[in-house]
Amino acid sequence: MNDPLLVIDDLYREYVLPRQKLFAPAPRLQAVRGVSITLNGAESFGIVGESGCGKSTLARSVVALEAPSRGTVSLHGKDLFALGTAELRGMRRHVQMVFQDPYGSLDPRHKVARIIAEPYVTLIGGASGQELAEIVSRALVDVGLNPEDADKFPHEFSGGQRQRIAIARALVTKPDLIVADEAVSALDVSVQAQVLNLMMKLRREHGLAYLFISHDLSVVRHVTDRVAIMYHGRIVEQGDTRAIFANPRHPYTQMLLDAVPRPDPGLKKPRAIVEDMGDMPGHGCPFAPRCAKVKPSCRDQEPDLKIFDDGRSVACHLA
Amino acid sequence: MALLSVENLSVHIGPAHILKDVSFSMEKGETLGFVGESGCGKSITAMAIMGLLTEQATVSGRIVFDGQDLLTLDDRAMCKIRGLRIAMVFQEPMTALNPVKSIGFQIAEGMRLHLGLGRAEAERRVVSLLDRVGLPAPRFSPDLYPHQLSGGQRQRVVIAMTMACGPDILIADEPTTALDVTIQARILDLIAEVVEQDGMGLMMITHDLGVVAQTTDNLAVMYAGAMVEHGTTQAVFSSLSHPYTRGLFGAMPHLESHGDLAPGALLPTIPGSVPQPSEKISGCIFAGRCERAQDQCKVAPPTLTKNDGGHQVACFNPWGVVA
Repeated sequence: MNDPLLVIDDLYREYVLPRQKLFAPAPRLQAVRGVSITLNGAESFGIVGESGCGKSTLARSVVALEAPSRGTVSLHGKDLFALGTAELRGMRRHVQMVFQDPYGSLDPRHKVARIIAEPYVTLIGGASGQELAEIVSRALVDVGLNPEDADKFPHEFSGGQRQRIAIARALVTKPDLIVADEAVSALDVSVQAQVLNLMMKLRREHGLAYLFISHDLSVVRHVTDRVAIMYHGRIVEQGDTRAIFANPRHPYTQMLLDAVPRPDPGLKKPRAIVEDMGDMPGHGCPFAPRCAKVKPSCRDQEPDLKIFDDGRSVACHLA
Repeated sequence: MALLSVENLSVHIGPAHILKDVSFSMEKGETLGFVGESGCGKSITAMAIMGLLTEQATVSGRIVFDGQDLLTLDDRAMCKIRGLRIAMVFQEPMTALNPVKSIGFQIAEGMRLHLGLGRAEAERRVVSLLDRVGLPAPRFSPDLYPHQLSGGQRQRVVIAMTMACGPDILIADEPTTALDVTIQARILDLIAEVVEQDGMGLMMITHDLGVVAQTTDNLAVMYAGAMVEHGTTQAVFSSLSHPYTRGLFGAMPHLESHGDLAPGALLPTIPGSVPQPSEKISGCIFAGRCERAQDQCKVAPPTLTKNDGGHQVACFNPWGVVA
C-alpha cells in the first residue's frame, strides 16, 4: 500500500467574529471542528454539505490558503503548515484549485496564455518563452480548446470554456491533487456534463486525485469514489459514495437525499424536511433540533464519529 | 377563456432575436413549468408578461390577460396589473428586497398601494401573511430587516409580498436556485401550498428538471428563444420526444441508478453549443447539434405539432415515432 497523498488530521478552524458588545469577549465561529480525511493518489473524494457547513474552509486549508487553528494538513507526508515559505511554495505545485465562478477566477486583463502559464512560472519556472508556449498549448488541447485560444482574453469565452481554461491552468504544474470547489455549480446542465466528462477523462489520463466539493448530490454521486457529509463544521457520515447514497445511516444524510427534487413527475413522495432555523444548541448533537429520530440523550452529548466494520463512519448515537 | 394567453410573442434586442414566436395559454389554477438553459428565453418570457423588458427591446405578438392585451397597456395601466394581478418571485431574495426598509413595510407596500389599505389594517394582514409563509410572530416581527434573516427566510418574505394582493398568476423565476437543497424543498412546498390554496396560476421558471417535475402539471421546454416541446409534465418526461429534451435529461447526473449510466462513466452530452441570438438560422435552431437531424431540418424550422404522446413537439424527426 502506498502512502496516502493527503492526510487531514483533526483539523479545526475558528474565526473571531465582530464584537457584539464593547466589553464582552468577541464571539467565535468554529467553521471546521475536528475533521480528518485521508485521500489516496488518483482517488476522487467528495465533500457535501449546505452553506456554512465548513466545506469551503476545508478546501482552502488543503491548498494552504487558510491556516488551521489546530490540526494538520499533510501532502506527500509533509505538514503544509510546518513548512517554510520556500518549501511551501515547492509543495504548491502538487495541489491546484479550480474555483466556482469562471467569471471571477480569471483575470480579465490577461491573455489566456499568461493565465495558464502563471502557476508554472511562479511555482516551477526555468522555462523559455518557446517552452512555455508549448506547455500552454498542450494544456489547452488537454482540456478540449484550441492552441490558438492562447492569444484571446477571457471575455471571448463562454462560461464552460472559461472553466476549461481554469482547469488547464490547474494542470500545468502536473499536480497530484485538484481541489474543485463547486467547480461546475455555475454551469448549465449540458455544459456541466461536458466539464464533468473532461474532469473524469483527465483523472484517468493523469492519475489525478480530486477533492470535489459540491452541494449537488447527483454530481457528487457520479464523480466520486468516497464522500464525506459535513454538518456545522463536522463530518457526520463518511464512506463509499454508492453505499452511502443507497443506504444513508445518518439522519442528516437521509434528509439531504430526500430534499433533492427527482426528475420524475410520477414520484411525488412526502418528505419530512426541517429547515435550519439557526437554533444551535450549546451542547449535544448539532443536528438534534432538526432530527426526526431525536432521543433525549442526543441533546446531552455530541456523538463521536464511529467507524463501522464496513468502513463507514457515522456520527450519530442511533447509528 | 384562458386566463393568460400568449400569442406569437417575439422579442428582438438590436439584431438579436431572443424570443421566437412563443405561444401558450394558462388557465386559472394551472401550474406551468418553463425549463431550459441560460439564454433560452424562459426569463425573457416572464419579463415580457410583466412588462419589465428593457426599452431597447422590440416586442411583437399578443399577451392577452383577462381580456386585455398587456402589450398595448401604458405604464400606468401596467402598474395596476403588476403585483396586484400578476406577481413575481425572483431568484435572489437579497436583491429582490430593499435592505433599508423593514420586511413589514415591504409586504404592506403593495396592499397600501393597490388595495388602498390603511396602516393598521395593512399591519394586521402583514402579521397573518408572515404566519402563512412560516415566519410566525413573535419571533419574526414585521420590524425585522432583510439582513437579519437567512436566505430561505428572505425568500419566504418575498413570497409573502407576492401573496399580499391575492394575484391570479404567480411567476417564480428560479425561486430556489440560490438556496440549499433542504431549504429549496421547503420553499417549493410553500409555493405549491399557497398556489393551491389561493387557486393561483403558477409559472415556474427553472433550469432544474427535478424542480419542474415536482411542482408543475404542464411543461414547456425552451431552447435558444423558441419553445421546442409543450405538454403535460408527465407526457414530456415519459416520452422525451424532442432531441433537445432528451439530451438535457441524459446530460444530468442522477441520484438513483438510472438506465445503463454507470457512476463515473462519461455522461452523454449534447455536442456543440447554443447558437448566438444574432445568428441567422433558416432551419431548426437545434439542427446543428442534433443527432437525428435530416436534410429538411436545415431548410425550414419545424412548428409545434401534436405527437403520438398527445403533446406538442417542434421537430421533424422526434423520438418515439417510428421513422
